[in-house]
Amino acid sequence: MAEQKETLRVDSLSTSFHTERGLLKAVDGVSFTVGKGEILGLVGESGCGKSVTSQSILRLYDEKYTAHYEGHIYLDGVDLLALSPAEMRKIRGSRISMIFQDALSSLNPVFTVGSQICEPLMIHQGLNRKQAMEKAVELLRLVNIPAPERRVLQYPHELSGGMRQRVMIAIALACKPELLIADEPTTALDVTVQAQIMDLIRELNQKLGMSVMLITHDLGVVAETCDRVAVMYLGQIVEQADKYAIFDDPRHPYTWGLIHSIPQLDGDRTKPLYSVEGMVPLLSQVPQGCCRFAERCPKATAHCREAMPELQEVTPGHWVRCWMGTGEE
Amino acid sequence: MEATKANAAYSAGAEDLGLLRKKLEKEQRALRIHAFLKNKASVVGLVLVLLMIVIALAAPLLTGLSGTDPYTNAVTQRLQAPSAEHWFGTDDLGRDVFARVIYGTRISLFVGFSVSVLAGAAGLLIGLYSCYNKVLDAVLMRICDGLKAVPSTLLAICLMAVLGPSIRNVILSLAVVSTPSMARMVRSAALSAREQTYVEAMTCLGATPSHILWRHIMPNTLSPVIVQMTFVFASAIITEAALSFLGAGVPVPEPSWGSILSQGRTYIYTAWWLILYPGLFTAVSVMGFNLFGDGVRDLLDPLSH
Amino acid sequence: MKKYILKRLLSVLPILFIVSVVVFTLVHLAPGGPAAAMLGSDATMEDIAALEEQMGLNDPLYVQYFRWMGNVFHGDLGTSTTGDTVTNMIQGHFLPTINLALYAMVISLLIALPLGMLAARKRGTLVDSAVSVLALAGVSVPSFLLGLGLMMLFAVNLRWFPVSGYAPWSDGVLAHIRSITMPAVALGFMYTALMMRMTRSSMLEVLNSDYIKMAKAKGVGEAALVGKHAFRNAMVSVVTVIGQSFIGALSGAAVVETVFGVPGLGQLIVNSIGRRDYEVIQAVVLLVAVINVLINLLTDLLYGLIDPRIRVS
Repeated sequence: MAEQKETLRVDSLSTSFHTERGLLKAVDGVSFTVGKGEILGLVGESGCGKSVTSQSILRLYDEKYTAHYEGHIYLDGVDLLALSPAEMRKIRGSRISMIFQDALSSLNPVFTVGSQICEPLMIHQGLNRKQAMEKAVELLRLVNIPAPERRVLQYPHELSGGMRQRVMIAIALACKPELLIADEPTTALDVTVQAQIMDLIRELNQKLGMSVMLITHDLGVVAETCDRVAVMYLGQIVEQADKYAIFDDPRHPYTWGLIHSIPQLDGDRTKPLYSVEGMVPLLSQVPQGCCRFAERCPKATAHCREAMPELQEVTPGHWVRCWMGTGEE
Repeated sequence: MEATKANAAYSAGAEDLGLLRKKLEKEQRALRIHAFLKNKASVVGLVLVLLMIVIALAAPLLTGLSGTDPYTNAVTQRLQAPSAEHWFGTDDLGRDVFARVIYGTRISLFVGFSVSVLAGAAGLLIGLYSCYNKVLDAVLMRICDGLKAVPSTLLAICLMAVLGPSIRNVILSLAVVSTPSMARMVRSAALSAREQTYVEAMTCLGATPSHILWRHIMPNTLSPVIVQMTFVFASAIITEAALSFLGAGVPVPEPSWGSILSQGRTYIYTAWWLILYPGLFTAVSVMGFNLFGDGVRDLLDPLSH
Repeated sequence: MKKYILKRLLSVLPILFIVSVVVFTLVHLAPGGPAAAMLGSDATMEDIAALEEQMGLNDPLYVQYFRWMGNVFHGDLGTSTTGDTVTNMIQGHFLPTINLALYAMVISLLIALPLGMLAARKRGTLVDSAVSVLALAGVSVPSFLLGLGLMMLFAVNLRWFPVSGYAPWSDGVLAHIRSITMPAVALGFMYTALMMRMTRSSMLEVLNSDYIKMAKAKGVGEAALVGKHAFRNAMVSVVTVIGQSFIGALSGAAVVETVFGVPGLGQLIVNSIGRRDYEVIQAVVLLVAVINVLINLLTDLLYGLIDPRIRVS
């Protein structure tokens, strides 16, 4: 059955925020799946809604005054958006875990690293302090931190950037989640540490069979690590396919633009570098009733400016939201 | 030929840039003033401040309207409740409380103004020079720390005890009380301005330290100084009232709000008007300056919140 | 941590030295000299000279300073113009002021911390605005004015509390609290306002931080998010204000004690002004300044306890 092969299925998720300028829709009808043991890459520029999507899955926003969700998020068949706050709390940190971009600001500076790892263990698995601490040391070992018995008693500011990120991963793994959401985990790190962290994530994905949703704007990371890719623009998914299909045969002009913006080592140095024309508009100025990329699109036609295309499966497993991307090229 | 054409184009371009920058600065200022006016609290503060200033300036006019003056004793009319003749009642020497409160506004505002200007100037000088001379820095900052160790009201009382009661001494004492924090603030703003790369660049170009200090560093310290001056104004009003209340501030027969309140304490069972009116004026002025100060801070230094 | 404690303790000594020099200098600024001021305007030149000789005022200033400091370390704070030793007078007036200041702090903390946290949780709502207005009133109404107002309302009109006077602990707990409540509220109101504002802004800043988001993503519940994760981080700023407030309460007591007739250090110093009793003034100001420095030291040590990052710097 299809459900058993999927860990997460997001179905027409929309997230809106109450602001001084009214209700702004940051995520508009997003649908995708993360298969069991799969690494899905969610790619897009800053402001396209990838972080909002990931935080919506865990319902991290304040629901009383700020955020409003629509649609469905199925975790093994259960709709997370229909759960009560208490039930949702049981999911966070145990069945779905999240790691963030900046490990220094995401770790509480006044508590030791060990106690922060113990917390989900004590909350979700009912371990006592001693048992949780032992498990914490094991987890630090799992993420390749040397001398874990010492590290466990240290504070976040005493560790290096790479180690802090590993600590975050250790916290996320504590209760053996089915899905790990990694929100730009390497953006704040330098290149060599980046490679180590991505290797670690891949290793854990293979060893533990844990699904990963990797959010990034770095296509290089995507090419190395992910199995499937979804490309987002202005709150919508514009293309979704497996890694090779995306890089070899991008159907959406935006995806094509992103890929071709990467400078090539053996490219023609006499020509100027390619860049996608125009700028990402503000959320409050999103064009309505037409393809949102039409203004910046080199292949846009009159029809593109009049009607919003739907996400369609052009070849098996390859979905595109584009009037032009279905058939040509 | 090519060179002069290029130069002309360059200077014309530079001129355009200069004009553009001025235009942008004007727009930004207009935006911030607009934001200030939209903030209800700041506008209330501004209105109250202006009200107090008007009252102080128009004091003779107002007492002309009431037909009274703050100094005339009339012992037969002691401690009378507010009436048509004495709008705010009389005090224990028969003096008209309305006139005394109105003239008290003059005293409070004068003291507040003088103290904030003095403390601002002194703080600026001390802070800027401390920033540039290590010896001065060590000496001056130690003195400031020593002064700050004594809480402000107590320090003011001590200074007044030593100097003797007079308006001039009140202003002096309150200025001494307010200067150390001002100096510290100027110093830290100056230090962070000094760390900017453009200062390093100017030094390489041969600018003297004095030039850098006054033309480049000082303007960066002005905004926090101005904001702090409004708060010093407010606290000077409060402390002067407290000093006069204790009998260690503005000497009788000058009509300071604090001294009227002191009488109100003595006659608390009988003369409520001696407390209500000066109290109201005090609270309203201080509130006005505090709100205004908050608004000015949002205007000049929006990131410091 | 131990190194941090030691460092802070050592740095206090030069500060105390400077404070004593400053206090000494302040008192000796009197125009005409303290002897002339003490004897009044109709003293003769010979009287003044005699008193100056007796008080040792003809010696160079630094000799006078060291003599004073030497005496202080022996417990001799000088002699008042009333004839009593300053030490005795201070001992006699110390307790009421400390009681008053402590009581004011307790009331302030009990009101300010919960209200500040509430205002942060319910940001932008009516509750938040009400708290802000209250805070504004607190910093705008001077303590003695509030004291007078409270006195008018509760003592004169409603007769719930005595108008003035002070009942020490020995008169019974209830009588003591009754006599000290109005002065404590008047004194503490401003600090309640300051602490409320600081708690609110500190909590807001912390509640918006990334580690709170992360804690939520781990499955931590609302109560633990606020009470455990946020609270401790917000406390650093609040502890500063608490320390400053206690010092302010000690000094503001001077005025409030006069309003309510509490026989504490404040009354002592106010009465000394009229008598030109410089030895008393000097000693009290030194005492308060030293307490101030010690409280700052204590807050610094508390920071180190609360926030491990500070122990390193």
